Amino acid sequence: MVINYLEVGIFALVAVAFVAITLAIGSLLRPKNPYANKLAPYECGEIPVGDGQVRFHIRYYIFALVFLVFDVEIIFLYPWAVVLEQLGLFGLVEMLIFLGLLVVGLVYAWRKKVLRWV
Amino acid sequence: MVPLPYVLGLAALLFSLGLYGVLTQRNAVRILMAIELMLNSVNLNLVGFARYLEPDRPGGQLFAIFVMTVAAAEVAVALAIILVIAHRRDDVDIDKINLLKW
Amino acid sequence: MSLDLISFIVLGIITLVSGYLVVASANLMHAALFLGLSFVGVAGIYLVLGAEFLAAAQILIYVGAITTLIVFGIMVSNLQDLKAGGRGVWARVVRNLASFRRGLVPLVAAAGFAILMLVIYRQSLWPAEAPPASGSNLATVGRLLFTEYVVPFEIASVILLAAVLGAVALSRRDDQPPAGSTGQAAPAAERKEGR
Repeated sequence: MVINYLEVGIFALVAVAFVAITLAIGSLLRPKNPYANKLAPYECGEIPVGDGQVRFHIRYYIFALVFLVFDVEIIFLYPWAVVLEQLGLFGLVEMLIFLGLLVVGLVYAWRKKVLRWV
Repeated sequence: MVPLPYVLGLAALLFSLGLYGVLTQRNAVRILMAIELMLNSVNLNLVGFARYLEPDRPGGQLFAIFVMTVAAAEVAVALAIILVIAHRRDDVDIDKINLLKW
Repeated sequence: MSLDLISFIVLGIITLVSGYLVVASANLMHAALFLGLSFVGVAGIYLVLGAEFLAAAQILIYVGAITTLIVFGIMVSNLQDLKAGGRGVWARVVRNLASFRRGLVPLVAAAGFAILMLVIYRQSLWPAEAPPASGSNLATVGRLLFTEYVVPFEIASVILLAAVLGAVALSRRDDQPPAGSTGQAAPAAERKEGR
């Protein structure tokens, strides 16, 4: 079963090993001279103010939320597209119902103006 | 070929990890993550049984897809609730969220 | 040992270790990222079990959407983990063990469940090796999903719709000024919002 994905596994191993080996060689070879100014986060030359972890606005969350819903929808679209020829009109109608219900949610979010970037 | 009890054992271990997290953590987001672990272990059980009991009609895999869908909806609503609470109280300690009205 | 078994064991170890770190790591953001790694391990196990479509769905939904949403939630609320347990994992475990409600009871419950299930699995009779499924997994799942499981499929869209409505209604705040949230982080949030 997993033999079909041998190439993928080898590829993943090579990718991980490449990063690990590169970083290891780098940390072995480079000179180390850390001091406070060098360790400070680089903000385009500005002196950083405050903590690195700030509270982002909640509207980012709503975009992630709408993304999540349509992500789940995509998952159902894949097998539907594969078997649509066998299903015929019935399959088309049921997917239209499914999509229609989700579009209601999108329209609601739109009408509530949460999708607008102020 | 992986023996079925191995899959089920892994799922049991993952489930008890999630259970331990749910019972011990006080941060609501962390509890949500532990619940996700438990849902994943249930999915592992379903897929393992589907592989062994009905390989040509994998109803267990469909169950797992629906569990994923419900998990997505659950995370969306639960995080929204947690965010509202966090914005109002600056705290998501579930021991302190004990008022129905604030 | 077959290749399937080896990859199952490796993926299982990845899943369990990162699952443990979800519960135990001190930083909430690290916990969320380890949660994503744990989901990737489970997706690999789905591949080993021949559920290719589920593996893709796991990556897309769990790793791509749910972990993202949790990371967004952490960033939006800027929740630092509650510093109740001390720094180190083991210090926290030891301290937790001292308390009854957060130490002994959960440990006994979780460990008891795991041991009980493992003992039961060990003593049961299991079906012999099943033949691998014939045909494409995606087509099989699609045929089942859109003929026999149509009603759950449509109900799933209703659940998603309810989730969108609920979450949007909960988290929209157009009746308040944008940075009017409580807390001292508001000025910092304003500063960062331009990005």
